[in-house]
Amino acid sequence: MPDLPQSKSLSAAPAGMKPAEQPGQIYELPGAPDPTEQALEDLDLIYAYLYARVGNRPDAEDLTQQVALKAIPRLRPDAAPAAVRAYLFAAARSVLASHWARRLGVPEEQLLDDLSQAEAEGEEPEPIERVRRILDALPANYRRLLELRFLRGYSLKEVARETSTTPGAAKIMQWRALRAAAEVSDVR
Amino acid sequence: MSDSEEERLAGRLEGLVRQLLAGRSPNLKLSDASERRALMVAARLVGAREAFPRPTPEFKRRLAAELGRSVPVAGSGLSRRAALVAGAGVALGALGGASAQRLADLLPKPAPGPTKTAAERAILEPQPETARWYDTGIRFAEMSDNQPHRVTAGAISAFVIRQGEQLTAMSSYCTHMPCELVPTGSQLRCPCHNLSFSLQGQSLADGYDLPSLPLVRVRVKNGRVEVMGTA
Repeated sequence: MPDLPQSKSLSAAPAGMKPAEQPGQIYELPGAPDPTEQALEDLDLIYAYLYARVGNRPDAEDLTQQVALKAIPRLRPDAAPAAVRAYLFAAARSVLASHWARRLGVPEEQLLDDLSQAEAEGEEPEPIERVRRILDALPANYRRLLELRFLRGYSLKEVARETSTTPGAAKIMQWRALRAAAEVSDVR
Repeated sequence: MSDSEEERLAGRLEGLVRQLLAGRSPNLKLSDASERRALMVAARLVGAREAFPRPTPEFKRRLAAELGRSVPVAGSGLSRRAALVAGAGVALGALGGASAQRLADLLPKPAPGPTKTAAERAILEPQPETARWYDTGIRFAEMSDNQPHRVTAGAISAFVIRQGEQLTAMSSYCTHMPCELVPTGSQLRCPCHNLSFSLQGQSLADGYDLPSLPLVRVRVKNGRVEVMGTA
């Protein structure tokens, strides 16, 4: 069963919690989930984490499945919820690095290092907020193009029409805008 | 970088972007670092289109079934993948009653009954006095297959989808709760609940007998897509 962190401010067991051997300091949560059960629930978070990075359902499902098959059988029966989640995210980072390494033909270690540094659990904002920060850091013309193309799903022709340019010029600008976005993002 | 080289890279990246936007997995090895980074940031931009990405119930059931499959044959030369599945089977076998029940809930259910026929499908018909055709500005010839376009026609909001030479328009609102659906790959997903519809408008949610998305009248006039809406 998981332990709550020690806290001097707790002077009595909150309702529904069973006092442990050190009353006033550590409580045992009733009905805390089994690690495997919790891991199954946490796969929703893992899926969202992966989807936000690969941008498509087939890859997100495939990688989530890899995480589940890799991590769940190895969970210790007494693992605390925070440890279960941290383990799943570590597995997700590893699986994601392998995925990009395979897909892009670069060394996995390089990607894993980058992911570990940039995406320590709990330190990064929500995907939408992160994308908003990236877009806000770009020149207006790049931001506009990426918003139309990616967030509103316009075709290049539609983008060209909207920005009074040609599809060929929009294609070049998309390339430049994405490179600029990569520069201001944590993608290395 | 020369102009021709930049044009070549931009063209290649556009091909990958189109795959991503169509919900497919981009498939090309990129040795150039700037190309690789551009693709990774493109994937993040596409990923941010969905505010609350969640695995579908179908996927979760499939995954739970795979995890729950018991392969208790020791020393039989199992592949690594099979061994992992076997390990999961053992772990899940040790679950308590509540967990086992939860797992049972996740396992595949019997196939649902027959789906409603097209003849039974609702059609959003505005009153004749308010009905009018709206030019969506979309050229039929430029539409890609299975790529939903969201359009509004007065009070009606719809997805227009081309499949081969067939053009379909259907309401963009979930028939469960009035939340607007979000195109995600080959599905239309409800952001309010974990429900999805096919690009034909049929509910993909097992266990929920949701009506299909009502059809909206659509036509092609002078090469442009027009939708019947309200004045």
